[in-house]
Amino acid sequence: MRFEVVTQGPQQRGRNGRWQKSCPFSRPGAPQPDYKDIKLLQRYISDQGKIIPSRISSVSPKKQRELAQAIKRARFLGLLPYTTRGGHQGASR
Amino acid sequence: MTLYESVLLVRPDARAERVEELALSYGKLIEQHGGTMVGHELWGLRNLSFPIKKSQRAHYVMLCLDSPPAAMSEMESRLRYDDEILRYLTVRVKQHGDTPSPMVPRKSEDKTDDNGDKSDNKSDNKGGEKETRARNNGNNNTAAVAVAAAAVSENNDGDNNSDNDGDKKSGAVSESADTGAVSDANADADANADANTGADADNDADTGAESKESDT
Repeated sequence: MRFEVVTQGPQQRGRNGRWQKSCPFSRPGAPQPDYKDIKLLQRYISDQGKIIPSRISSVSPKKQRELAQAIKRARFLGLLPYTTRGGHQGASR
Repeated sequence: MTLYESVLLVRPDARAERVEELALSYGKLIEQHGGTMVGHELWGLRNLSFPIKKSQRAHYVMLCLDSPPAAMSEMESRLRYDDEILRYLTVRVKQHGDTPSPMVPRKSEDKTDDNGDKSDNKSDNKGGEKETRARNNGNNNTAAVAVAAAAVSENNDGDNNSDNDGDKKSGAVSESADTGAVSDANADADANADANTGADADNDADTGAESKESDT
């Protein structure tokens, strides 16, 4: 699985010395997950159309639930794909 | 009374005026049952990510409603048997957005200014100076819009209200970039020759993206 790191919050050194990101939706004034904002939601789906796990995108659990709901609503309305052909393992051919 | 947002997908062969008519008629239905229609937004004819009832595209309308639940169930039961409606989604919201949603296309905003309180302010704020500048440079409206959209999306990184208009162009670009990256990886796995395969992979990525669009 290839997931790209899509967003970067304000960064901090964690206990293990690595850079840690904070949730991109939890900052004051941050955009909220909304099924109408597909440009925002597109950052949180993989190129196959899967929802990117929060351990990759560092979205907080609460916001990840809202985000998942928003993505699923957008999918229902045909705004986002449930799945796209291709992407993983060259299934496009 | 409860606040609702209803998004309706209307058959693509309907005219734009017909879509608005439909929205208003459902608003009237709600009003007959003791609710009010706060506003509506036309999102225009959009490509669907996958066919719905054998349609590749659909007109989108969003109704902002303030209505008793009984009226909503009445409306939904009508929607279910309306042949012109491909699909609908009703969501209860805490409050209606005071700015138009990111889905509203710019051009139609200009046309449908009179729709209601919702459509005016944001268009001015969003484009800002950059839009006007772009328009001065070239009369081509679409180019201006694209430029302005790009500018907006750049700003968004630092911006608080990052309502970006769901602009297809930038979306499409990033998509193809993604697939490009993936098929690059595949080419590497094939490991034929270095530079040439790289170029091939690029071509493949393009065709892949195209076929994906046409298929879905």
